[in-house]
Amino acid sequence: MANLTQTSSLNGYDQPIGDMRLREITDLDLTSLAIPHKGATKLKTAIKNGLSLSMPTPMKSTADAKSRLLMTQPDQIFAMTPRSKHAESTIRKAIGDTAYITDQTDAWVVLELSGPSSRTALERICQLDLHPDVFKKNQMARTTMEHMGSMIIRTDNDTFILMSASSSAASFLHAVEISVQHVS
Amino acid sequence: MIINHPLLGPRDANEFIHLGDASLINRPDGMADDAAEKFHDYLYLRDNPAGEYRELWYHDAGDRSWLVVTRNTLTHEISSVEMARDVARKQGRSK
Repeated sequence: MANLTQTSSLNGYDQPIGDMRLREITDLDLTSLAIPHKGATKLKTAIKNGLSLSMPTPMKSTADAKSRLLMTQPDQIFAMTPRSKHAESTIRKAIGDTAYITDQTDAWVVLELSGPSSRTALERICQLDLHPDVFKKNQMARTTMEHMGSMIIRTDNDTFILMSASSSAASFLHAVEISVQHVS
Repeated sequence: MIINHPLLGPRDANEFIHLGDASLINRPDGMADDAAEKFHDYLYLRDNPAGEYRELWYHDAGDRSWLVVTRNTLTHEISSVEMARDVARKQGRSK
């Protein structure tokens, strides 16, 4: 039998650039939770009990040290939880059948940009206002960067998670990397 | 042009796709006796007002929601943005 080795979209890219660090995050399970008709309250309780997190609201993610929940669209939650063998069954164990679960782990590439100049680098490719008074910690948004659909989350004052489709991971990294290089 | 999304706040129009007249959410009953005529009107007849106009926009690069945007075609001023879902529900449609 062929012996296959699992790799991530960007082979675990991790580079210091100027006063920043740009790296790929590979230790997450990504799942999409679609809320059944009139099932929001049930899911909210299940999330509280199973993941110890509160329900995210539009633009506002909820998180603890290990996991994060985003509201990606009306009636849809996106869960970022620690990497397990099988994302769907892991999340199902936590929340039961309170949502329709789809494994998205391989569909997204997750980058983390941190460092004092992060916001200056991002203002070149992200059209949203990322000033900390407007885009606060744990705030998230779906938008485009270099014409690629993406998500952005502020996880700390100078730290952002950027996500885009794994099929165009290299192009997305290139866009972010160039912006970072141009301000360092 | 900036569209003030009811849930997400002001977003650039390039995150959206424009569909057309907001009346497109009132799809006729395909099983009715006069369905052919109703669908002809639904598909082909449009007002072209110089002034206030209600139209559908889709937040493609965002939360994938449909919006009903009231825009002045002369000035591009946007006076109201609603979730299309809420507009349909107000008319007694959907669940």
